[in-house]
Amino acid sequence: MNNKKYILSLLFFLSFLFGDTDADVAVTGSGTIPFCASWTSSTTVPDYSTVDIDAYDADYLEFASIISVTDFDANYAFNITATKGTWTLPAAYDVTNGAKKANGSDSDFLIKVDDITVGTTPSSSNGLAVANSHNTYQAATTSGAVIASGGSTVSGSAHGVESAAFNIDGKVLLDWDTDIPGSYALSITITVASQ
Amino acid sequence: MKFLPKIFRIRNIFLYIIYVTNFSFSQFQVSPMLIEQYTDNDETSVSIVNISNNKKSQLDLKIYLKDRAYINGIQTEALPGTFERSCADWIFFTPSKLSLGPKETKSIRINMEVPDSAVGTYWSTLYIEESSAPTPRVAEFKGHKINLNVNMRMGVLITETVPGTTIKDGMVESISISYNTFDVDEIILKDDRTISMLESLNKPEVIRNWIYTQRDDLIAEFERINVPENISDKLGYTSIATPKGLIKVLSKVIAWKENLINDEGDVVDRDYVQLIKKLYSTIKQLESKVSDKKNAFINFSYYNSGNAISKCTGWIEFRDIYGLTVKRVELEEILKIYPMERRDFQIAIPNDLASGEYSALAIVDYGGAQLVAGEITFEYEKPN
Repeated sequence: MNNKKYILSLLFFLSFLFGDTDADVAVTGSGTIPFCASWTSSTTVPDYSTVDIDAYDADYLEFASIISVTDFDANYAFNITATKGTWTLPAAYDVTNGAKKANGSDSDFLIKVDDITVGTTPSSSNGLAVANSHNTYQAATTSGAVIASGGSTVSGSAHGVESAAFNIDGKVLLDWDTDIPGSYALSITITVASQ
Repeated sequence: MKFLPKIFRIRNIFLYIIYVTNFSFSQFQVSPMLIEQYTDNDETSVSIVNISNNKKSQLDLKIYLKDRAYINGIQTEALPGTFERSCADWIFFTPSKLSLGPKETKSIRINMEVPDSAVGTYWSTLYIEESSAPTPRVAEFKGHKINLNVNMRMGVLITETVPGTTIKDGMVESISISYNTFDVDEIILKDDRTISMLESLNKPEVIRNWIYTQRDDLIAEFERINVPENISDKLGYTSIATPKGLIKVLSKVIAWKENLINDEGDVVDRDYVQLIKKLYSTIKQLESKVSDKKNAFINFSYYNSGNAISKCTGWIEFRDIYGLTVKRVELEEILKIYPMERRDFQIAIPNDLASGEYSALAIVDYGGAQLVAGEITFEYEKPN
């Protein structure tokens, strides 16, 4: 009789297990609840072609909202990192005296995070926040720097963030004596990863 | 039937997993993004990473490994297998390219073979990045064309800890006091030689604290500086109207330093003398405008010298000249610190600490057999 109960209970358990487990359940080596994150970014690129250079201090050019993340969710503490690539410079660029370096070892591209929505957290704290003073422009580097983070790894109260949002702005410094007319290109990589 | 509650508990855990992985809908979702493995030497483990395309169009992805390295304690990205605590060489994953249709989910299989010699914790990051060319951000003006390409990617951190081989260790490497002024030397007030002013301004913290300041009140306080005519061509400025412009010109003057100073250590050009004095006095003047907002901080750095990831707790103890603790400030965050990582902390000295002589102890509990601490003695003057 007892065995019958055990078998029925086991079948009952398996029916829940296989009934509810679909393709979204990830398998990890440790068997822990998986950390996942997602974002929705604006697919509309702002129009920078109408830049009025006279409106600036004539020493930089600002690219507002190079990335606009309208919905960011993560279920564990995370870092958002910005990594600068290398410059593609005009062929006649003065590589000796010019501030921009083809290998990216310069400080002529700056980045900041603004328009932050901290998102929802269980304790109403440790939502998405800027890191390493990136609420103001900081020079981006090829080794990467954490520009924003959120969530907590504290034992007993670890958590993530839901429905956060932010914009990333860029600024290219200009030196009128060395930044000759021509095409300049730079790649920037934004990474979301676990803390 | 005693184990029925357990069954429901297990079921709830699985339902929670499903909830966690499904609550966030977006264009691009990766799960899991953290794989913590505890595999013994000479054994193999398998993990699966699911990638979902929530867009209504095709998503092409490339997948690659890189190291999250710590060079001189600072986090940096490195080629796979080049960092001494990298597990990239032990990992085989497939596929390295994925093409997902609308609303489609596919998986990456990750095999890790832990070698016999592995001791402690190792890690690497598997990146998943859109392989299609990003939409360019282009600005054009006066013959210049600037093109920014912004790529977005997800990093799956993979850590492997060999059970029974971890060593927890750490140290407080340095401790200091700082104020959130712009750090222009006060001593210069007693010495008006231009070269001293230039040296005082030629410090990383002066540039760092001033550069691109967004303070509206400072901009409002700024008095235009006219650049002498015969050096305006060299500097590319006829006048300076903002703190940003001021630092830009200062950087150029500093870059010219060797050409400005003679064997006697004086600035040779009278116009440069005039400009340097003006730059110096303007910075000092603006600094005085923010002195009421000045705060003092204890800064210390902690280095994880063990071979395992540390979760630290810590606090600062302020002791008076008799050695009695008069104030204790807990660290706000308990951080996950990787082996070979250096983490800098800055703790504000409490406003209610009276002026006087103190010692500050930065104490860190890294979960090992002992606490580690750094100590500094200082004369504290309460800010106005």
